[in-house]
Amino acid sequence: MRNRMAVIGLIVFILLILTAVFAPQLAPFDPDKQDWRARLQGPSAAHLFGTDEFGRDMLSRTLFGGQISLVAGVVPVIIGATLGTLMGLTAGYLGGRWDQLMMRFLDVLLALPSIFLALAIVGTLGPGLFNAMLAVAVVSIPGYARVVRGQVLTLRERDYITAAVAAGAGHARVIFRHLLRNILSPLLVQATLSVGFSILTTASLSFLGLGTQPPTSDWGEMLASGRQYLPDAWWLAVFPGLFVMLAVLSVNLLGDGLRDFLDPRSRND
Amino acid sequence: MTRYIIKRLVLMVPVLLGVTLLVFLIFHLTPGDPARVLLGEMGQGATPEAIEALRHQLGLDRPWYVQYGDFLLKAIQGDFGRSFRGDRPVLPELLARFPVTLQLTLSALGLAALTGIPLGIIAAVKRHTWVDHLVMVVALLGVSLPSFWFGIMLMQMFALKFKVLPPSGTGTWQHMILPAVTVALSSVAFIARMTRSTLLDQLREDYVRTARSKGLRERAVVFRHALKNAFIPVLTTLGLQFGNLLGGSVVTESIFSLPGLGRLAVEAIKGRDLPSIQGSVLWVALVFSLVNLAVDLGYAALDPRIRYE
Repeated sequence: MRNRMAVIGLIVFILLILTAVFAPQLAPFDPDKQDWRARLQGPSAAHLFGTDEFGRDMLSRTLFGGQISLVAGVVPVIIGATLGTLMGLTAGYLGGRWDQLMMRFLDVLLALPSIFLALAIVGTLGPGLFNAMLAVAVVSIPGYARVVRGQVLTLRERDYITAAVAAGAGHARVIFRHLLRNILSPLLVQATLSVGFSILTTASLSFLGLGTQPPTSDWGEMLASGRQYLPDAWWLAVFPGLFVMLAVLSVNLLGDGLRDFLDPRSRND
Repeated sequence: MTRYIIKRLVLMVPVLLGVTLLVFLIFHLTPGDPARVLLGEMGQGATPEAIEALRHQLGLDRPWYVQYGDFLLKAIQGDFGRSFRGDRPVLPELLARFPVTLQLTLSALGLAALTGIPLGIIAAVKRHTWVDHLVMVVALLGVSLPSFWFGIMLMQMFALKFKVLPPSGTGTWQHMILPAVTVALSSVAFIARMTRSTLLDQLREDYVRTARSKGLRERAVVFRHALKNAFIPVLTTLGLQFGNLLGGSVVTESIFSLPGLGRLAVEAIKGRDLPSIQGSVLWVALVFSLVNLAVDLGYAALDPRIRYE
């Protein structure tokens, strides 16, 4: 059951990536082309998702918006996972003062609810897509660092690590060749599950006007800019929202499935 | 116990210092002069002299560590400084806005607990039936829906279409319903999943087998034996959800035009109003840390096996 759902999640997520990558070929219209005679039209054969307040084709905008929203889901995960893993690996393996310092830094990051921390970081850096992605990356660091550190603390005592050290392996070699390899699966699960969090959080920041800035738009910004026309134009909100949900849902299904597959002890049924 | 509480309170100090220092450093390392932003908005010609004068007036022409030290000294005395925008004292503004946020967060928490826990129990008891699958699918949807989108959809449906609830603002308890449902959504899902899995763990324990084999009815086994033990982790989850809900309020207040802390923070951020940003960050971190401490203490009070020294 879980496996099937995970496969469905994977397929849907790949399809979403493909529609974003091939948006230039798939989109029926130029997403930025305004047509004042076709303002705020409901879904029809010509415009499957309707048009917005400038007469722009919503289907084309949703496809192109996906490019940004999906990148915003993946980039923070790459940055956050890299930094968090480095912190967790070194803190767990080296221990001592370095470990203390890293843990206190994580305490600081965990002292605020995650969306609020992201908001504070974007707020101090200034609005913009890159800053929003950076903020989401910083917010996700503690998740990785803790998972990795915990794993390293148990692995450190294993014989093969002692053997490696006895054989003369340096810190770097032990960390990257021996430890990292053995924590890849929990790391992969954590990373997959945080793609959904990243998509949701950057979309929320864009919705608040702190992420993507017009005329560029992602799904969150599309929702924010179409909001005032909503009572009469439901399609402005429904389609971008559905795509956010589809993306997050598919990647969460995939993450749950991966966790069950890679760590059978966590299975709960 | 008292020693433990004091120790935790003392440990909060470096964390709060770290949070404010982080915000301060990022603010000073990034380009974007608040004086220029402010003058630009007032529509005045931003001459270099005018900018310099305003920078001096706001205290921005001093080295960052002097500004930070000044902020700390005043903050300890309960003075969070004055906002760049509107030149109002920050702390009274925070205190005036906080009750709205707290009310929203607590209503959402209550709502999430009242729906999430029963859903989790039903799913666990009816495990592997269509009821269980349905609850889990709803829970999965709950964590995947963007809350701001859900909020807008609720507002469309119940406030603008059927006109049964007010669309925005504050005043009556009805004003709180849509925002609370919006904030609660992801927590309902989380709590339901957590309740289900802890209850399932308990139902596999030996004492449950004993209870069943002595002929106890299933209802008594679940409610009187297993649920009692499953409750401790569930209550902890509830406590930890408080932080999430507090964060969720930030976005939701903007949708429903609630004059809470979240909206204050968003407005401050858009205007690069450092004292207000710094003030809201410090306040939220303080509340968040105290709630986490309360959760840990509650955990020990409920479970006699846990002792803090």
